[in-house]
Amino acid sequence: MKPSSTALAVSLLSSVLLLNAQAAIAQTTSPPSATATRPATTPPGQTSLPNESPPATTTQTTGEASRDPVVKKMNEDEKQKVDTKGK
Amino acid sequence: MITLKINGQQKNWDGDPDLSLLWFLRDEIGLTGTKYGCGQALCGACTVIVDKQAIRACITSVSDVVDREVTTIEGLHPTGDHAVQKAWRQLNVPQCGFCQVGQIMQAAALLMDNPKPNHDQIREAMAGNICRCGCYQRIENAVHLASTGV
Amino acid sequence: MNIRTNPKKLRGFERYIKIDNVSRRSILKGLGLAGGFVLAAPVMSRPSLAAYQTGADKMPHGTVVDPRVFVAIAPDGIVTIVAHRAEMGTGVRTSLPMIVAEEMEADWSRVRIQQAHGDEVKFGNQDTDGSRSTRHYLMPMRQIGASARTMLEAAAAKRWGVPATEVKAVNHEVVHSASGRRIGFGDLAADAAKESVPSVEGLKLKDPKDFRYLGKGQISMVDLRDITVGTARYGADVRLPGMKYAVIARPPVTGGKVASFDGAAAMKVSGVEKVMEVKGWPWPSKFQPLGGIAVIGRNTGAAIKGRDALKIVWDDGANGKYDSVAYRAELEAAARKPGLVLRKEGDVEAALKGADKVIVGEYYLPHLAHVSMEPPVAVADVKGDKAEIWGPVQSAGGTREDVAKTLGIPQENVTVNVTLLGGGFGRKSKCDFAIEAALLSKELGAPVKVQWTREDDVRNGFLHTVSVERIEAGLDKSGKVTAWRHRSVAPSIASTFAANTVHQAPFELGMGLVDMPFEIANVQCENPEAAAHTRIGWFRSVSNIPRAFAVQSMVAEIAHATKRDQKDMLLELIGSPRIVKLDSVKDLWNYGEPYDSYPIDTARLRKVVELVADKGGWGRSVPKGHGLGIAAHRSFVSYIATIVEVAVDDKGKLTVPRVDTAIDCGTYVNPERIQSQIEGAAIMGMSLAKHGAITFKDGKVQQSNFDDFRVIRIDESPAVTNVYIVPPGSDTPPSGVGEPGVPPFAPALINAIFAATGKRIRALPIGKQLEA
Repeated sequence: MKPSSTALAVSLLSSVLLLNAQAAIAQTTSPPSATATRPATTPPGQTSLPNESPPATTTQTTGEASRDPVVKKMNEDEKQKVDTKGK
Repeated sequence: MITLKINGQQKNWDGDPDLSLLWFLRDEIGLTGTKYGCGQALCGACTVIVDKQAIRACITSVSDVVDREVTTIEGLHPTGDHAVQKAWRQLNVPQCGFCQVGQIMQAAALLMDNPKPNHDQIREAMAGNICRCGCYQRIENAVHLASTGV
Repeated sequence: MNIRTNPKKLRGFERYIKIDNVSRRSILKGLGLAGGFVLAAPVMSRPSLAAYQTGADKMPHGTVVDPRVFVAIAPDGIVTIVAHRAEMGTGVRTSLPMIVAEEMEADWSRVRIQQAHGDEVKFGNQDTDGSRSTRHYLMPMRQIGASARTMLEAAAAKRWGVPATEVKAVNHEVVHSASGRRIGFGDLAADAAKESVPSVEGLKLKDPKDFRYLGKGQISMVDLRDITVGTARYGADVRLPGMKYAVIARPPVTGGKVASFDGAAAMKVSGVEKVMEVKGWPWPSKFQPLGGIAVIGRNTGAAIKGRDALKIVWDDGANGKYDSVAYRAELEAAARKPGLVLRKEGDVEAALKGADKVIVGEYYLPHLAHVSMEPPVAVADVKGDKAEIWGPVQSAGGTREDVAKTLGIPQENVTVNVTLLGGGFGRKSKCDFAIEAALLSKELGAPVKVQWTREDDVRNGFLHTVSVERIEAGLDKSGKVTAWRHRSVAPSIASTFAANTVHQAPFELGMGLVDMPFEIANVQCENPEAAAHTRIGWFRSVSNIPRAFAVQSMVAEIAHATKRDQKDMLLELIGSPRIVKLDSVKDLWNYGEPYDSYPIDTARLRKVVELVADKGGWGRSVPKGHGLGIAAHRSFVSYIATIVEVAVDDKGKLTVPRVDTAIDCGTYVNPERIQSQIEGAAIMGMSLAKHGAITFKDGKVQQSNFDDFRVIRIDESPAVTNVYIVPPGSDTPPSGVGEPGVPPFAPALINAIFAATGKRIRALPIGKQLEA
């Protein structure tokens, strides 16, 4: 059932080319938009953030304790639970 | 009043004509096999077949499919034994299974169009259907199996 | 499959949900009246007696080992076994009942599964997380099955007037071989029900060589057919008569709230019935809802369109300045200074000073969203002081508790029906969406479904933390590593429960930081402070992801610096086969397991490395532009090693021709599902390595859907993923499977990219870094 990995590697590379050709076709013809099997727009790449980020400017806020006594208890119980049991 | 033909049955709708086919199917007529995953045609969970073509029900309005044959998973095969469905079971494809209806409908449409797709054609045709569990290896093998006979 | 729902509700409503939920009453009424097996005996918690100890009985409500709770036999011979954990794709709804069937000699084709509702007093702990189900329940389920078998055998022996030792249950019947008599389970059900439940201590378990199902992998998931024909019922598929459909606009900034809103335009949208405020709780509030404005419609589409027309002014609160670029710099600055010392062996400071060479690596991993294919969704029907919930929840018992507390009603008045989960990955361990549905149903006096859109899921979830892992490794002249200092900085999951949390919890520190297994003379692990600015939660594999990424990248960096093979370097650092001693670690979490049963055994870690290297062809020659990378990691008390082959073309585009993974998860139940979990883990690992990043600006998540929070699609998925499962020793306890596959993938990929291109990636995701 499984082709050899070398054959797959070769065909995988050709699929990249095919896909680009296919994407071009998808843009030039005009079927109903719902037939697109891929997002119409190219998603922006997730560029990793640079190491030379500017220094911190945000204040370190650490949240506001819940005022509701029931929820406060739930929080404490859960904190206790995760501290001892973890996930 | 809009009349739709879904799995060979007539269904009437007198509400918002812009309502997406997805929510009409799921909420108004109870065909919950078709899933919501993104609402933007990005994931393929809502794939149904309209006139032999796979479409995303989430961005298709009910008025878009008037006078067209809509097939959902419930109507794909009378006993649930379409070659694609059988191949899916034979290879134990699903994990959580939520995306699999969309995957199966997409694969069924692919085989209508191209009965013997190769590796690249399968990957290209199925690339719009996301599986977060990551069943892709088995999906690919199952489409291949369905095309060669289960 | 049985339909066991309230017949009154079923009437006139054919598309009512198909979920089996066991209530004591329904069993007694149904099977009990028909001469079934289940007795009205009081249910007591009966902890399991295992050959090995696990942490199961320390979980909330522990384990219940009682066949009367988990097994029913109908006169027609159909054996019904309760699945009390949540099915999200691991196959647990099949695997655990299969263990019972194995021990009781039931024929799987005559077994039906019922999903337990949320009731931990009755069923034991139901938190389906932490890769725990098999490792905590293999033995209890065997004992439950063996108890049922013993009762059936005793009933048959009495009927025939022969000693119980002369009869034997075989494939759904009890046989007396001396006389050739045999009788089916169905015919014995009523008599067996009168037998007393045998003591756990005296049970005789099957010899593993006689197993028909356990460890074989020939049994498909019980939901397989339903999934392929579209009848599998997820939380999203629950429909009740008169049910309203709701979506909620939630504060875009964690801790924010509604300042003012105008719902007039929303009310004009066709199908919109109501616009109303939903109660929110100040952050942090465990799993309590964020609050916001709900739009109620006659269908989900109308509600979404109505929500788009809302005009809301938000008060962003204290987290309105959360900015991922600035925050990363804060984390890096913190990682460069000393932090809370959690493990200390030798003198790291001196060893680093005296080292011939020091290699420093800082590894960054941004927030991640779970994006299970089924976004959070729940249905609630609250009437007076009673509530019924239907939903894809990983922790049915916890959901019951939290809904009860929020509504101010007793837990006994809350029924939580567990549907199939369209993916969980830790997101559905938090029941905020079920509480939202309960609050709205109470207000509206009608059943309500709350559907999260994908955008809600990406923007308002409980994200994987964001982290900087900084490792300094000191080498002597011979290239031997003599010093290892690892600082881990990340906002903690505990910040979701307690304000002012700045340190990670023991369970986070125990995921690849303080439990680092290398044989190095001078080791120090530290945790500098980090404050949270959004809701942090469990994400499949949790802190193991950044830790394995950092540690296993550093191994390859050391290998490169000392001109050694990655795998050889890894084995050298793991060192001699031994049980790792961690005397300096105060709160060693060890995944909640006793160290005696589940120690860090470097022989097992070495073995998966050697196995994957052998099977995966480590060192094979690859085409130009290809590279091999390896990584190994112990998590959820399992051992795993992965080799990735990558191909990077001259434009920097990467593909993965092959993945090989070896896992040692101890005694296992269903190798076919283990294989599928590991195949899937490669995809999840690749998704986070290549694309995964949730970023904040002005306190708001910048991504929204699968276009800007990308996951791997089939056309970029590995061409082939091979899985090798280490055969267990006869007494090796079971360990985790669902999560361990993810952590080694990213470092193996990154190391492979280095081998292919000479580029070392220290910040994920890879994104366009290879294109530069």
